[in-house]
Parts: sequence; C-alpha cells; structure tokens
Amino acid sequence: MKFTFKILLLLVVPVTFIYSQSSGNAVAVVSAKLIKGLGTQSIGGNLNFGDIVLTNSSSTIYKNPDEGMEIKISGHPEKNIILTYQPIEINNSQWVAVNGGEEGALSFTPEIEHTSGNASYTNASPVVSGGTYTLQNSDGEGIMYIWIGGNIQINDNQPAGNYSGVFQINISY
Amino acid sequence: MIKLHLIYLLTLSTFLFPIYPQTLTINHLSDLNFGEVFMGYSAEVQHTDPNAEEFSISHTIKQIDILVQFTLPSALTYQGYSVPITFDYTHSAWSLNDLAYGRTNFEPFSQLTINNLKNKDIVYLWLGGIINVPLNINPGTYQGTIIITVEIL
Repeated sequence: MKFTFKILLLLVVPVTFIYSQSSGNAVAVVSAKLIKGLGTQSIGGNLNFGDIVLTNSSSTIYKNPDEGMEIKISGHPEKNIILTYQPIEINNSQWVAVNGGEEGALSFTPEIEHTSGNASYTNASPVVSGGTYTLQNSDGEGIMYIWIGGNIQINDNQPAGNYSGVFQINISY
Repeated sequence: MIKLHLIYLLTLSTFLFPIYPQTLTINHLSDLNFGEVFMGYSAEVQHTDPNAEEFSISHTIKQIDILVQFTLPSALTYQGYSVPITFDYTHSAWSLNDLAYGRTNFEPFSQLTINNLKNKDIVYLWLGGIINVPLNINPGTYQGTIIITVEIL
C-alpha cells in the first residue's frame, strides 16, 4: 500500500507544474522615422545675361556659377538628395509679340556647383544631373548651397529681342 | 499485485491530469514599421502590409480556447516629443493562415477570444495603424511598444 502512494505523488507533482504554464506574452516595437521635407530658398543672384550685342557671328556667353544664382536647399540632416536638370531653350516670343520682329530661340546650358553647408563660394564642387549629394547637418537641419551659372549659344543670325525661359531643377530624396 | 496498481494509477493519471508539455508559444514575426514619414504628414500601414505587426500563437494541447489582449501605445516618442498613433478594427486582423486574404478583423483594444483551436492550429495576428505627424517636432526615429498577452481559457 505504501508503494502505491509514492507512485501517485510522483505522477501528480510534475503534471500540476506543467499545467500552470497557461499564458504568455511577447513584446514588439512600433517605429517611424520622421524626416524633414525638402525646401528651397533663393539666396541671391540671377541668371540674367544682360545686354548682348549681336555681331552676326556665333558666340558663347558664359556666366560662372558664383556670378549666377545661389539657392539654399534644406531638408533632413545627412540625408541624400538627387538633383536633376536639363539644358533648356529660351526664346524671344513675348518680346516679339509686343515689339514685332523675327522670333528666335537659343539654348541655355546650365553649370551648377555646390558648396555643401557653406553659404560662401569656397571649395565648390560640380553638381551633375542625376547625381546624389548629402545634406550637411547644421543644428539639426540638413542644408546645401547650390550655385547656378551656365552659358547661352548665340547664333550668327540670331534675331534680336529679350529672350527668356524657365529653368527647372528637380530635387528629391 | 504491484503491477496491477501501477497500471491502474497510470490510467487514472492520464484521465484526471492530462499532461500539457510546452502548452503555448507566442512568436513575434515582424515589427510595425511606418518607414520614413515626412513631418506634417500622416502615414498608414494596413494589416495586409508587410510592414504590419505580426504575431503567431501555437500550442500543443488537443483543443483549447484562448484569450488575446494587446497593450498598445497611444503615441510614438523620441526625445520628449510624441506622435499620436491610432489602432482600430480595420487595421487589425487574425487568421489561421499566414495569408493576406481570409482574415478576420478585431477590435485591438478589446479582449479577443478564439475558440476551439486544435493542437496543430497556428493563430496569426496582424496590427497596422495610422500616425499623424505634427510639423514642429524633432526629426528622428520615434518608437512605441506593443505587448501581446495570451491566456488559455
């Protein structure tokens, strides 16, 4: 009879212990990386090539980037951005509509450089269309200064007038 | 006589005290990740999104009912700033299959009871959500914690 009782205890004890494991939990993390949107600010300068005297011969008028337009790009610190741009054609259509004369067009080929987080034109590096660049961290803001110059091609028979067009730079993360 | 007693007791113990080794397993399969979100905008993760939270629950008992409860954050935080997060019925679902269809929605702030689970059944649960990001807060990685508690009824 004693032997029987011992066996019963051995069976009951482990069974009771295992049965108590009837709940559990797990932990997970929710996360979101908040980033600043991109913005641009014109610092100064322009892409006005001024008065050009037509000489009946072709020529190239050049404006160095530091003589052109300076733009500040702001966004998320240390985040990469991609800049894309294309040469454009500018024309004298608006001027001809008012003043008469022959319509013409000429091409503007941009030349862009950046000075990273430096607002001054020092140690400038070329900005290639489609290239990737990093916004420098400045007190929690990612910034980059770009400088836009370029050249226009004057043909030997270029009609007179005020030529204008819209030059667009696309900036994206 | 002794042999008879042993057989009797073994039979009795099986009947009265069913053995449940390794009764419940909860696996965390993926985190709820909203990815990169622009400040001033909102972001949403559906429960069918690969970036949704996913848990699985398995067990080795012949048949059980379970009670599932979530402890959910009301906001994601970073450096003292917070971004409100919303969990709701349409962004929460469970299923016995790890598939994007055939799921059952549930209210994530209420207790969820799932009945008659067989020992080879695996319960999958997914949580998505919505965040609305204010403009004037610090950029960075905001985080919160989800706790799932499962109880055998």
